[in-house]
Amino acid sequence: MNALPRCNILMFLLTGIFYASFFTIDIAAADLSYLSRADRLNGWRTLEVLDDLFRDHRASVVEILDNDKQVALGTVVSEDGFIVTKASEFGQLLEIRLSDYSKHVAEQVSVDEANDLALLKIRAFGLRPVDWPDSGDPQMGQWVMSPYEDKTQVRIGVISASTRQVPKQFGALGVVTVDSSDYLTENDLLDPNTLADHINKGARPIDRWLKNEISNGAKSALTADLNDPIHQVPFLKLILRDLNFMIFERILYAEDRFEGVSLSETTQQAILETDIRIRRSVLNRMLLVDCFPDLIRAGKSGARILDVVADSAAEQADLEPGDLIMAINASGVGGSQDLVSLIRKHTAGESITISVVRDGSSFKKLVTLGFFDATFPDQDVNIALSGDISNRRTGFQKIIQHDMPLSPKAMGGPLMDLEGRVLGINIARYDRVTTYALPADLVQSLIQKMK
Amino acid sequence: MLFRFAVRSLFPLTLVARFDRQYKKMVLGKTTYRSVFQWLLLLMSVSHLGADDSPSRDLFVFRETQRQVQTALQNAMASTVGVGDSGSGVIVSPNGLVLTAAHVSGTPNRNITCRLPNGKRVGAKTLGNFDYMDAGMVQLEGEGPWPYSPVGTRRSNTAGDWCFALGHPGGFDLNRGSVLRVGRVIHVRNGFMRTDCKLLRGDSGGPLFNLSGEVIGIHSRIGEPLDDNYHAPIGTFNKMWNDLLAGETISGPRQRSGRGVLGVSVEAHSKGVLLKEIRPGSAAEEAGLKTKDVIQSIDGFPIDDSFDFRWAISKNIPGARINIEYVRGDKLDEISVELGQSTGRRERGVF
Repeated sequence: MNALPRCNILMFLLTGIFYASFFTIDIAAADLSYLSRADRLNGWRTLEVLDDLFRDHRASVVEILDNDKQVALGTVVSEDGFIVTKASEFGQLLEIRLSDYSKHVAEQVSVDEANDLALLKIRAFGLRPVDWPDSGDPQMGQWVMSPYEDKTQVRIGVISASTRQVPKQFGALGVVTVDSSDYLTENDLLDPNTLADHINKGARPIDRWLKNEISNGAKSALTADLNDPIHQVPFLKLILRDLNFMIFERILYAEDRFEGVSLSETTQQAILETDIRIRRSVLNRMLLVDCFPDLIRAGKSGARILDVVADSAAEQADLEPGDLIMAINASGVGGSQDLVSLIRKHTAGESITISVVRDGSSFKKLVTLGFFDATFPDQDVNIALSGDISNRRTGFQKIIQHDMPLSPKAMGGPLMDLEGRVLGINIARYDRVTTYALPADLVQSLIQKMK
Repeated sequence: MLFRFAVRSLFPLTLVARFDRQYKKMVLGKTTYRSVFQWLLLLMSVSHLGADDSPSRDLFVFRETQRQVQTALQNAMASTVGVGDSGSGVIVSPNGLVLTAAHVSGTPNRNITCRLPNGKRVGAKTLGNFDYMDAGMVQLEGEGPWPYSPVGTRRSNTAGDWCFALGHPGGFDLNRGSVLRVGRVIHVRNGFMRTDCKLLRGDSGGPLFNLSGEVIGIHSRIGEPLDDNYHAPIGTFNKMWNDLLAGETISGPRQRSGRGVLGVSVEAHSKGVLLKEIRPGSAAEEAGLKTKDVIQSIDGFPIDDSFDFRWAISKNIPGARINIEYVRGDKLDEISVELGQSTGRRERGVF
């Protein structure tokens, strides 16, 4: 008997809340100068009508789980467990959660790389496949609805632009470079005689002594190091490298030996010039002439990496700041701008061979280019204002464009008209105002091919 | 939970029955309570049915909106152009007058290029510029007649109205064409209109239409939330039409120290702005303005909200004479006021 009064109190409380809720809504509805959140296009009150429409189709939408986290939606296309989804959103091991919350391990039957569509199969029967319409491309301005990331919710929008092909976006390496202007061509290679001539202009004994030392050093470099098995490198490089060491050593020695007597200004100048040039070029420069004589002659001096962007293709290929990119595939890089235009000839996902010079050695790397805006997200203000977007968002044979505010995790779900017929499969969240869907006819033909 | 439940079941007559049954079970014969409850619930439901005529509730509204948008779309798209490097605009007269945002057209009398929907490039000259309210005009060069969209009237849009936006988000793309967004007006306030037609850079200067295909706004700016899309209302253009057409650069309010002050604070009113408070010793008091006067226009410039009012006062220097048209009671009157000096103090909402 004791429970009854408590129930009464509870009932009164609940009734109070119930009434309060009505009052709040009425107040909101009465404010005619402001459209409440609920009444906006994707507010819950507007969506209520669609919830009822969508409920019938909920069974055709599944969640794709990667490590127990929902990464995408999938659309059931046959009763015996075939499901299509966006391919690039998940790894190899994946599970599928049906609308009755049962989980199934999915097997990836096939992937259509050109359109980023994956066909999955689960061991289940009696699934509810979607209905495909028999009409052509949808008209601009037509209402469409799609499940949101959480497949029980729905969003509404319109077909917002022409149905068309979207070419693949160019790729990105993920490096910041400068023109490498500090290289020497063969003509610039240091001739010990020139240096000696410069020094000769100073008539003081110390200068003459240094001149002799340098030319002797050059001679010894010529004879000695050519036989050294460790340095089986061409002649030009040897001279310059040894000159480099030599000059520093000899200057120190000279200053030590002729204490209180300084080099003449001409000599100092000559040494300084030589020094800077040699120091700048160091060993890599010489290597360039050895490894890329044609490029150097053609004035393709490469681009030097200043910075490597995190999580970029360049980082995956272990490129480092200071590396010099000399060539992309077979074409030489003339500078930073040249590098940009060479890379933009290739689309994201394509692999290119980069010739790199680092610390006196030259090597080649195979790099798979990333997506430009995934690599440089700050480059585009539009992306900064778009929230989460799909990584793979270009390169589709044919797409329907709509303006529904979907999350990238809602890709793979069906795009429906208000009759519940499936017009396509959402394939990429492009930006704040754009989502792409592969049209029904394309998806159907791809499924035929993939099965 | 209950909130959601209560709101979801918006036909409360069935709800009455359901609650009634539950109530019977719980109070077992205490009929007084039941009848009170029933009566209250019935009252609520009736009032609620009256309040709930929100148009988006019905699928019919969607269908009707779609029909109207699609009818208006062809002409609207034909008159939407790309302006400059990465802006949009809309042709509003057969001789090629284009409305756009001030931050798209830039300084007057410059030569720029516009892109027609078919991709053709057309030379154009920038006309007037009203940066404060982001209104700009551009004149296309070359032979007309051009396809154009009609312009709405000053008060042709209110909160809740359906509308659609066109423009070139991310820049002009011939294959894609201009991009459609359908949504509703959220509010019209502070000289700008806010809608849930999602915009992006490149849309700037593009048109917002009502369902009859009249231009009711020009895309101006966005915030990060998806519903933060702001448009310069067509009223701004209508009010400044001749100045913009004449290629004038219309200045915004002056710096605080150098602006004239009337000495009033205002609040919104359906016919202009209502004088809420008049500062003692101010220019307004001297001229004989009283609280509850409704100011309708200043120097011929119609005042819609405090944003308009602020500009119309603060663009003048101290000592300037302005003509104020106001309503006191039912009577329309006009006075000339010499603006005073700023006190130098930072006072919010005092003009």
